[in-house]
Amino acid sequence: MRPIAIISLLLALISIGDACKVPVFRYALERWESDAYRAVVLYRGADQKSSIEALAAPLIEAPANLDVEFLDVEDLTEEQQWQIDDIDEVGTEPQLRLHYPHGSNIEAPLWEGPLNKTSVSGVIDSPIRKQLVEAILQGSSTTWILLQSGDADQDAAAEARLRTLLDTASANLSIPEGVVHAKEVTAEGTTKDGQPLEMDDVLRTEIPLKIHFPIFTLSREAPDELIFVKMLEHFGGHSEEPVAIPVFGRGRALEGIPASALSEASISGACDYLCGECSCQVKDQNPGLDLLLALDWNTKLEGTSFIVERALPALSGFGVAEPAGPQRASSPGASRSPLPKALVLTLGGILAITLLGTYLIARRQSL
Amino acid sequence: METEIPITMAYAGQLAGVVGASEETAPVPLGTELTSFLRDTALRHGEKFQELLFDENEQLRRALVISIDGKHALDPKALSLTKPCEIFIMTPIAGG
Repeated sequence: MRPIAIISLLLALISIGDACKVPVFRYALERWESDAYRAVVLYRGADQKSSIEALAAPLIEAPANLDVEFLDVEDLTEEQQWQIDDIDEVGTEPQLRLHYPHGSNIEAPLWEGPLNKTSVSGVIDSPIRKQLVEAILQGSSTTWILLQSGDADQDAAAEARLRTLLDTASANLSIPEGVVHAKEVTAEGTTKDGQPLEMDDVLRTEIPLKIHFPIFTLSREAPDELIFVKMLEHFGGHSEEPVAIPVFGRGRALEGIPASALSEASISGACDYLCGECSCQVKDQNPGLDLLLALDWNTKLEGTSFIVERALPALSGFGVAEPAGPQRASSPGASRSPLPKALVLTLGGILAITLLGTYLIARRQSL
Repeated sequence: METEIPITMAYAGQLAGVVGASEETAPVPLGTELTSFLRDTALRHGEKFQELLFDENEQLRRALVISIDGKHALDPKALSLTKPCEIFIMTPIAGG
């Protein structure tokens, strides 16, 4: 077995043993930051700069997961110009190009067009995105976008089928046992009946925790949604069929399921993952890609979040002990688990390094 | 004689695109490890399918959602196929 494989296996085993009780959809909402999209404004000539910045200002000011760059193509070296596709298309009219987040590994813009008020507002937000955000903040486990095909019969059949399958999934699912509401945590960091707990099992917001799967239908031709529809193409939205795309957390979307693949196995499987224990808390090791949504999630969730104040144990053996102060619920050091996570990770790391060292020594000796 | 059980694979998104179907059923020896079954399936469907399921170390990709009969498999590497079932896989969204 190769050393990297040994380390991967060890880390995987550590993660598996470390599942937390908060469902994936809720863990994502409370703990995973959204990845930023990139809007690139291309223009030609310094004389355009001020007017373009004014036109693009809403992109910068929007509370969205969006970074904005301005590029005057006349300022670029020949080598830099080579790195930008279709740069010759940037004429007298400024252009706007929207890119998926870096983590997607997709370099090509998902949408490009002239920079104007319509394109700017279409990039930032759209009616259905507002509805998605509202539903998530109301406690929906996962919102499902049904991207319509344009064939009314097919679309109606797909919606009815999706509704039935989601109802079946809802009936068979429940919130994992062991999720703790912050109100139930004592100052000593235990449950009210004195049981030790992992802070990863504690909810951080007052948003209702429930199994609920609303469906939002979306026409590919909706004028206000054209850029959002393009954004969904990478989630299976390029299909000619209706496609069901699950969205959870702060707008993280999974691969879409086309109407021909709507089945109990596919829908219940996706819902079971989303509502099950969060087995891997590392965002990048979970599937999905964030959508571009106009909401400052941290600020919004702060209004509903709990802070668990806990008295720290007095220090001993290090001079004079100071009185303990309050600590936020999110602090890793706050855990009273019998085997703290940091210790498990440290031991796992030491074991991995030892095995790797042994392997390399053995390999050298065999040469 | 080795007992075989029918295993149905349900595909969506990228996998369905590679396979050219949303479902296929194959007989599998009872007790086959899930990873081994997926490896064989990947070999049948070629390099792109294999890349979607396995990383450069030939390990199942971490960010896959694998469910069996509608139940998410938390630790797919530990599972064996002991009865007829339907397996559904969602692949991570990445790459162009």
